[in-house]
Amino acid sequence: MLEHYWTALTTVLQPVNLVAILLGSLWGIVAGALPGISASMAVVLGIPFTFGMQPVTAFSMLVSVYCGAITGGSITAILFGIPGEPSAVCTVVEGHSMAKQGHAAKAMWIAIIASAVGGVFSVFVMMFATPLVATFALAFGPAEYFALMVLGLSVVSSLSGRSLTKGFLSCLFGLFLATVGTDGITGAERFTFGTSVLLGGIGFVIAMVGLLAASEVFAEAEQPFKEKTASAEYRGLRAEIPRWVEWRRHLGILGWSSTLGTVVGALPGAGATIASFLAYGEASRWSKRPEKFGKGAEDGLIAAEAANNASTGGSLTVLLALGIPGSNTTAMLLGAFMIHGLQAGPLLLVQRPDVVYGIFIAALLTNLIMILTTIWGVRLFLQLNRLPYSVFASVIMLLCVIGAFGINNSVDDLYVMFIFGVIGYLMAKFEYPTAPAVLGLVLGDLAELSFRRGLVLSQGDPMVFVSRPISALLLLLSLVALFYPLLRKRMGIPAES
Amino acid sequence: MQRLVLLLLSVFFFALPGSLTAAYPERPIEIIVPFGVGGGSDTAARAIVPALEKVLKAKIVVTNMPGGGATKGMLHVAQQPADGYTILAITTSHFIDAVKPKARSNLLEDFVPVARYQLDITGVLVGGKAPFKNLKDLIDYGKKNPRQLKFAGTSPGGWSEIQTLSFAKLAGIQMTFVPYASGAEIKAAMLGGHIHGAMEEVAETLPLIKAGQIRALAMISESRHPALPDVPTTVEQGINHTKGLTRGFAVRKGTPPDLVKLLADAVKKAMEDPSYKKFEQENYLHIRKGYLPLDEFRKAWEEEVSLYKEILKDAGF
Repeated sequence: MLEHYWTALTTVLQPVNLVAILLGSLWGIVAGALPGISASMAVVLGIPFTFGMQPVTAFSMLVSVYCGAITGGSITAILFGIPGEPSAVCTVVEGHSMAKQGHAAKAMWIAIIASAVGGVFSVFVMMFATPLVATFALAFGPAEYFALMVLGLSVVSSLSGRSLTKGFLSCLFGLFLATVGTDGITGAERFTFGTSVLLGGIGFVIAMVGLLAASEVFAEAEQPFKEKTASAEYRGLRAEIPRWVEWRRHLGILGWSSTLGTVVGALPGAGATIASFLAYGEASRWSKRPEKFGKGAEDGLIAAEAANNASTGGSLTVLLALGIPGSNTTAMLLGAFMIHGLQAGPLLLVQRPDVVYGIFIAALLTNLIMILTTIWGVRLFLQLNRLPYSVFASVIMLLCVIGAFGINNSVDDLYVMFIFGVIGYLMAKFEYPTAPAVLGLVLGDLAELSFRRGLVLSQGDPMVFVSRPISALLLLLSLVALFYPLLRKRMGIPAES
Repeated sequence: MQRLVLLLLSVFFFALPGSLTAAYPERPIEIIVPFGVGGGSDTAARAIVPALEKVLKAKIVVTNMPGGGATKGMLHVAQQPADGYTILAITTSHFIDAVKPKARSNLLEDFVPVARYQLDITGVLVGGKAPFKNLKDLIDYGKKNPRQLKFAGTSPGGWSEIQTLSFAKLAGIQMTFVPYASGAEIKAAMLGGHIHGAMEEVAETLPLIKAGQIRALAMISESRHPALPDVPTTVEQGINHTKGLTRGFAVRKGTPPDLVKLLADAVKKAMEDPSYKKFEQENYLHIRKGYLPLDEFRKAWEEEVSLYKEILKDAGF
């Protein structure tokens, strides 16, 4: 096996492959930062360029586009509060709060480092524990998926901020939104009001751009004379270079989130977004300073970014081991394999070890090179902060519109986005937190589908959720998670600070 | 005056090759794929588009419009002008929709066929750990345990469910259909043993079948699959069911007939292009004759619609 790595390393280190990785990750970062271009679209757009390349070069480039896009999504998330990628939702919540407090550069450093660590971790898992991850992922049936989603939803109690009631109501609203559209089990239309706009459901990126970003612009517009040059408040990248002392206490969360991200990334149908939500939730639960969550918590940002990048390795693991794409983007990669005359599946490792090991090495290198390319990208974007808010706000609005439109190229989605902007504005006015609503919308769909799928499989017997060990354990954990903050309050234990 | 001259000139020039539509296409054509990026229908459309662009000498844009089974994209095309610039990529799901009383757009009434370009083959697949070694095992189990056989598919009330029900009906068993969101999830569920199997088009699953992790019990076809010569067909096993998944193009009703004919001919030519031929071979889409133009395609529509009408009635939809 070692000699395979050695050959792969020497192949990937050839200048042409290094250039491919560099260009791939640059394109990935730019595409990821643009809200209208998702990671899968970035890969699709890159595929034609690989036609004339050797397979190793082609996949080095495509994998670096993939990893770059997931990282790039955090740039727009932190600076503008718009998720460049769906998986950057939690990054918006924490990273953008930090940016508003003048620590955009610090948030960027955290995101870059956490992303790189998560990415590298998952590549090592992919290299040495592929069969283990694949077996574990396959053990997840509908019951386990459901339990995992419940665990994710149980975070609501830590996300709620001051009022638990309002947090729960907000989450229920999100769960309701997740039911809109065509029902995945019977194919019936739900809450579509006879129009075709909502047939595909409410896209959570669209809703979330409205709820989090557009609503903020509306709220800021209430203060017409608040002209300020934002740049004065920001500290530059150099001033915020992270220190080892600060990072030492985050090591636990970094490791745990990377593991969680890798595993969830390997589950088909789950992927980067759900991975980052789950890791973020776990971080908020075990954090020493849970009250900081939603207001710029560093550990929350670390968890979200480490997990969404770690999911790339998990997703690639099942793709390479079984030929099953764990996410939309890896589905595109599967298509690219076919174009290059390769068949992803259990036999690929035997037939073309050069390609598989090449991908391992390329993914590893990408995660390291990306540190440099992202810093370059961030410096560019940070310049925008010199703009006065009135101009900056219109840039944000423009990005909101591009982001909402770009997903399906549909004008209808713009209306949906603006309606959610107004809803988000009203929620803020009445002090309902919006994060739980987004949580409900993101997890609700898969939670409902896997619940009903589980019942179809067990022929209506609900015991299936508690009789399977993994599922039972996850459900038990969610119960604890749900009531722990309540109990802590009741017993009068103050949150540590 | 200038306009008139231009008009006359253009009539003069474009009348030369024969008809008015010779000017078509003068701007990019849009193909609406009513499914998500990366699915079978999307991959197929994107594979033929480069060749089609060459033939038509025009830019073709593929737009994905998933939602509501295959309804959302279909409704969109039904609302566009009938000028041949918006083409709907159709599949068997649209035939099935045409049967349902509540459908808001009906393929038979609102569209005219351009051409079919693929007729894919479905396999009866089970997980490698499932206790069924051959089709007989499966059917015996199904007869002894009604509704205990759990087969997954991606479209509730659509193609994969109808295919499962049709097979079950002709095999004389009852199966439980479990809807999943994507083929990837189904494969994972099959490998993990959470479901017994699925009726799926085999091209994407071949690597797993060859590795022995998924077993193909039968091909729903008249003849054996060249990539899996050891797998018997349904016909050999005494089950008279050979329907496969249709992929084709349709345009709105009212599109000028000569224009539809031009498109149908273009599809035929595009299918002979080496780039598309290569895709066909690699994905085993050439086994059954794909091309079926205009009225012949319409006949196939009508036949299938009446078949599905019966199956859906039996299933109580």
